Amino acid sequence: MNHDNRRRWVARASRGLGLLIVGLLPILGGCYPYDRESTSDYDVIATAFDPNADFPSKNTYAMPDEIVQVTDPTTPPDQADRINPTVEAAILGAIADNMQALGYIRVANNPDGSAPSGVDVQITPFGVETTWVGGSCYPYYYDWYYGGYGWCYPTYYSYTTGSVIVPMFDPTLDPLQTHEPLWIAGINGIIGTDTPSSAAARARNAINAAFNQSPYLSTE
Amino acid sequence: MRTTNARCWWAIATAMALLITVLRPSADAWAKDSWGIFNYEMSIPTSDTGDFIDETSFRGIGLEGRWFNTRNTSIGYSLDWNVLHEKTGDAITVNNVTLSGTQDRTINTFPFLVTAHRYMGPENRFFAGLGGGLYYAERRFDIGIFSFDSEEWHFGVAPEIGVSYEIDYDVRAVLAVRYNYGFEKSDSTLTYWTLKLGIGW
Repeated sequence: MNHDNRRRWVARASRGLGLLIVGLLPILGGCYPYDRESTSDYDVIATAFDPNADFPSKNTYAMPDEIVQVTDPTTPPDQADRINPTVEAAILGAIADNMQALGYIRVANNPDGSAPSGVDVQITPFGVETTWVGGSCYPYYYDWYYGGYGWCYPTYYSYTTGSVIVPMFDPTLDPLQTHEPLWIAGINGIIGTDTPSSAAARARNAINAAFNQSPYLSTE
Repeated sequence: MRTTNARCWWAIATAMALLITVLRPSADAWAKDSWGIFNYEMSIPTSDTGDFIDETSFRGIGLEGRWFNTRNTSIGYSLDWNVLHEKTGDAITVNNVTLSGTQDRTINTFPFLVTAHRYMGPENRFFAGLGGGLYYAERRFDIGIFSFDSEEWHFGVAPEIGVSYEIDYDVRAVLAVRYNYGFEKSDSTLTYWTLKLGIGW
């Protein structure tokens, strides 16, 4: 190969390389690069508070010793199922630890489950279970493997996710009326999707995160 | 699927650009010379975009065509695909609501620009230029099992400086830095630096 031919070959090769790479772009993927490493990566912790609440004036709280799972809103709480005992203990323990760290003193509920008179706030955690159903399709380049399905090869999936809601109420308000909570935490995905011990660990971490992102709850 | 839609736009524009580049005007036409450049691109988000994604991106490519109407000026186009992404656990607070959890924040941006460059030095080694046109941006925010996305077209400008070096006959290496500024749309600008490493022919 003489010098001129070699130069032309280099020019053609570099042009061909550019065209090849550009041609491959649509199948490179990487548009939405995710690297979720564990189920806890799917946990979401949301908290909100009443801007008019005067938390430093609060000192005591009451909380039940069990957490019910609301599967049917018409079922009375005393007839509802409880969440897994291991997860329940982890959640109640984490709430108690964080409330104590914030300066609150726990007061026992009345035998009928109602809040004792004089207590500043009532916390009533409960679980909800929701089934999510979704549909999706592989990107069109998977057609190479599933020829004949057009550009989209449909898939359908469903999975169940459990959420824990932790509302904090003013117990002096009429319990038969609807009220905005003083504070509320919603934790998505920690019950019903994992082994009890793993779910308990995730629940404890999530409750801690909910309190960590709510420093305004402090009584000081 | 929106991703597919964006890819289709990019594929159509790229195919057209390739045709233009391959069928470039000969030396006896109005253009005295022409370059086609394929770039690998890294991006650093700034300003509004940096508030959303604060991480350097190593996913990006681009294709350029430049036609010289004088010895040291050219006009052309630039088509790019930059993927900005950050995985974070930072809490988000809006008014009295705070949300936390593992989040994937992603912007796929596709600049479609007309460019002009001026060259200096021997063999047009140094250059400065300005691009202008449209930026198509897909923003996506994933947290838990929830996903939120939006699409916007931004008008934008892109000043850049760079250097090229002729490696061999009709083949050159190109290094350039560009600032991408997509004007505000839906209360957000699209702003990021791009470092381009290219091979031209």
